[in-house]
Amino acid sequence: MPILEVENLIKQYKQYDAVITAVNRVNLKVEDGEFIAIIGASGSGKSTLLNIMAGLDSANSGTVRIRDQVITKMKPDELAKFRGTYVGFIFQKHNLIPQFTALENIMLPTVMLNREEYHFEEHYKKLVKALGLKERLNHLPSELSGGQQQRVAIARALINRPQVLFADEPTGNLDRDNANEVLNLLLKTREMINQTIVMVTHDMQIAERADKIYKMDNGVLTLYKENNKDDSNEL
Amino acid sequence: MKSLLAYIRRNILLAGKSVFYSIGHYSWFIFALMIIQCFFCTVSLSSFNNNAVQYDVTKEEYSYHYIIRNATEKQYYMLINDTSVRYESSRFYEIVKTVKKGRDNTMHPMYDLYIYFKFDAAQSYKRFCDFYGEALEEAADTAYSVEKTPLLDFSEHTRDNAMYTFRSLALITLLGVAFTYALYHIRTEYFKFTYGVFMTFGGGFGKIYSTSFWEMMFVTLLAFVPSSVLSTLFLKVFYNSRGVSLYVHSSAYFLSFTLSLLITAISLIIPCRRISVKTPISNLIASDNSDKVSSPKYSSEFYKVSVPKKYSLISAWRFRRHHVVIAVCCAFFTAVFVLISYGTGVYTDSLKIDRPEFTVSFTDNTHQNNRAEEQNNKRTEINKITSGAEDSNVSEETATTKTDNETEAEENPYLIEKDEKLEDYSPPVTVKDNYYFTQEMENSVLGLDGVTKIVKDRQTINSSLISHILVDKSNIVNQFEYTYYPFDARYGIFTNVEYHPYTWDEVKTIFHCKYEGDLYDFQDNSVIVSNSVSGKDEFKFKVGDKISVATFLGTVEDAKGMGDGALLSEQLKNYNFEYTELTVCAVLSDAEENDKIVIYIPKELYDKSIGEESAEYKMQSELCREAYIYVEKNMTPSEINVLQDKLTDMFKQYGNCIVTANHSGTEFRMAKARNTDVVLYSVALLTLLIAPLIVLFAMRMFNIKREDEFSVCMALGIPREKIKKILFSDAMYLGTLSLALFLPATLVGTLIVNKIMNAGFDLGVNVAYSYPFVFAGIGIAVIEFTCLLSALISYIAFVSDSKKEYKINLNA
Repeated sequence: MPILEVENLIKQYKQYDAVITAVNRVNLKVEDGEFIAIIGASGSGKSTLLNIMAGLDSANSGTVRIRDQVITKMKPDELAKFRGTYVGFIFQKHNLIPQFTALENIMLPTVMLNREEYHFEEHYKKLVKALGLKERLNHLPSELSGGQQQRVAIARALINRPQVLFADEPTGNLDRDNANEVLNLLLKTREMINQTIVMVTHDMQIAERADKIYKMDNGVLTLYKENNKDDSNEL
Repeated sequence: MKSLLAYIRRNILLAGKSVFYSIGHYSWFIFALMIIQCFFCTVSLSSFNNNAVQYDVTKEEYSYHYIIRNATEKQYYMLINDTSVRYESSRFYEIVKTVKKGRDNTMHPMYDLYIYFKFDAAQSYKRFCDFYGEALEEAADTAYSVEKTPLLDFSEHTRDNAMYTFRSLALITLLGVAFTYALYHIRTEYFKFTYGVFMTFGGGFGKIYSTSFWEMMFVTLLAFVPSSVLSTLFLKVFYNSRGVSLYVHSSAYFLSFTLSLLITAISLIIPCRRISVKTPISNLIASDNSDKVSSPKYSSEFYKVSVPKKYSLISAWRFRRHHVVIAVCCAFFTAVFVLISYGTGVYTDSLKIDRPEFTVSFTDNTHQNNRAEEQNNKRTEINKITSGAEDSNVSEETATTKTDNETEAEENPYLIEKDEKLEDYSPPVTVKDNYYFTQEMENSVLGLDGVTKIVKDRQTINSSLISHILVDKSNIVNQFEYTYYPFDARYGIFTNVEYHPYTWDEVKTIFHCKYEGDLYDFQDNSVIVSNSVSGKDEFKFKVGDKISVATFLGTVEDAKGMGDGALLSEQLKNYNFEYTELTVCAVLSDAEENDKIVIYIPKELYDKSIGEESAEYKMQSELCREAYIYVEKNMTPSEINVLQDKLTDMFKQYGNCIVTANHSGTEFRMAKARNTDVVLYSVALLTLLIAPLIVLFAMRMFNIKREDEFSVCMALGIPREKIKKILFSDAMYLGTLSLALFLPATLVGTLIVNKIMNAGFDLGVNVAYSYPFVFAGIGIAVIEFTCLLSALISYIAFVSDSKKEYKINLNA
């Protein structure tokens, strides 16, 4: 049974008299624990699709189901709670809150859901260790490097142990070594909690590590390549 | 409990962190909350103080609740030998002062009794009336009268104060909610990014609201101490400078803190809701001013150019939606300042208007004639008794009474005995025909110490049926209860008309009436008319309707008809009349008159048709049954009592005359002691700070995000001067827009305030409308200055950091 299911998803923008279709009748099924990558040119609509699938943006029509629940029909508050509980999101530009320290940024999702410390304490320690953030926890985002900021963003996305992780070019601002390191971390945590990962990327090298690669072209999503599952955990 | 404390601690710490990290923009909120709390603190403290201060004033002037004037001997002994209670300790009243006066019709002395009610004064007064009311009435003389002092009515002042406090606090709460809402709305607009992140990771409305609330509660706490200290110091200095004590009530601070928290709680709801219903992504991407731009494509088309030539104008036009919102806020709050100031001005003016201290009324004496007759008979009887015509027992009784009189001074230490010379006694009253307030009386009253002026309530009663008015039948509601005769198919005739000439002395007696139209817009062909007769709406005149007044020109043949209808019918047939058509300029709805239609006509027409042309009418025009006596404002209650005694003595011989004290001097001093005007002006002044705060905050936030745009412009070669021009043209645009909204808002607003104050507040006068140019001028100056200052601050902030000249932070 797929954990994520997208049916006939359409997203259109109106610019003056013209209508731009960013996402055009997209259908997609992602199995539990699967890692898929979405590639495509800039402006092809891949980030828009990712935002809609994660419940961050609204669609004109079509449905998105996560854990068999239609999130496109949910009310804002209900959806927010659902996102906090089952969905994690990594932004390309990190989107850390500047006045919060790394630790506070990481803990933000637990605060949003009013979770008690014992729920996440052990997981938090593992994450901090795995991401190598122990020494930087009390620093503000402006005092961290790009790679460190991205790691904080990853830790924030994973702190609530989401079942589905959406990542919008998480390695886009990083060099090759850092990019590989970040990807390895994601795959490691995926193993730990049997997580589903949906990642948007430009980087074919990164995409090649996914179970399936989809290509987005002018809002239309097609299956580009299906990798051998045995290769996915190489690193 | 432990988890609750941990929850509160965690939230306060987080809120404190957020506030101190962004202290720059939270300082605007601290200042705003200080203004709101100063509002609350000033009004609450002064309101709590009002009761105490007013009670001090009243207590200083009156040590008694009730005055019985000209009490007869029977009444006097009735009250001295109080039989209402069994034990001394249960006595609910005390006669604190007794003034022995002249003799009544039965040659017995009369007294003025000053009564203090113990325990709950209002309850004791009620008991007093229940127990003695009828008995006192039965034993009364013609000159008997009673008066409540302001001390007895003090509970009404307490109620008034409570109502004033409630109104003021409700107004301030509304104002505070609007103010905080405006500021927080601006804040959330510029902090959408943070809320977008919250929402991405599970934050809904509840979380956004609670986070905001905790932050604002922290701000409220920060603002509370300085605002409380400032308000208290201000009131302390102010009251002390006026010689009034300030009683500081801790509940005032509690009230102000609670209300400011309530304001915060209410004002955050809508901004937080607006954010939470948006998608997280739309909040995340609005980290620049892009969400404030309106159709840039149409901006170029608006100026009929393909690319922007005048950058400043283009930018002003593109951000028009943002500018309109800020201009509305600016105009609204500045207009509120004008409205509060205007309302306060109206209230202050109404206090300055002189109010009569005494009313002299000549009432219909039919009833009094009967009573006087009874008393004269009684007197004859007593004369017979004292001359020994009756049995000796009665003489003994009289003798006993005399003995009592002799000992009463010992029994009552408050008794003030007048010099009892026989010639001082007023002669027994012989009630004559009805009296009116004559010129001689007026001169005598003016000769008394302290009297400043007399206003006679002049009436002209047309009883001879000669003069009349024609009224369009469509204006008549009830034609059966009046002297109404059909004139023709269109008009009806009314003869029971009370004519008044339109003169200042006449018009000022109707200031207190409710009216439509304009009392001052009186032309040569105008008329002011009353719709109500004997308290009922009998006419439906509107401004612009017509009324014709008949002027008697001469007689062709005598009219001898019997009865009003027949007489009038013959007069119409045999007399010559000229009709002057007048246009209604104001309609009174509650003119206090008997069963006559009250009209005010031009003086010339009055003299012609009612006055000089007819000797009979002229005589009647001087008939005045009621006169108002004004005294010097600084007279003390004891001086006023002496004056009242003199007036009572003076009018005693006219049996149907009553002199009533209105206590308007004390009422004036009590109203003045409240210092409402200063408190309201202070509130208005604080209101004047709101608009600048909002405009400066909004434009500062707006321009901070525009700094990247300006940096790009400068990197592309635009000089600083051009940036300055952009900023100042934006400010001018905003200023003009605010002004365009401010002027009509104040015009309509002040008209509404005028109507509300005349209708809903007991001002005692009907205040005419005039546009408050001074306050509007201050408002305009503040608007323009604020807009220019916002541009100046942004420009200085931009150029002060020289690094910013070439800094392009495209990621911001």
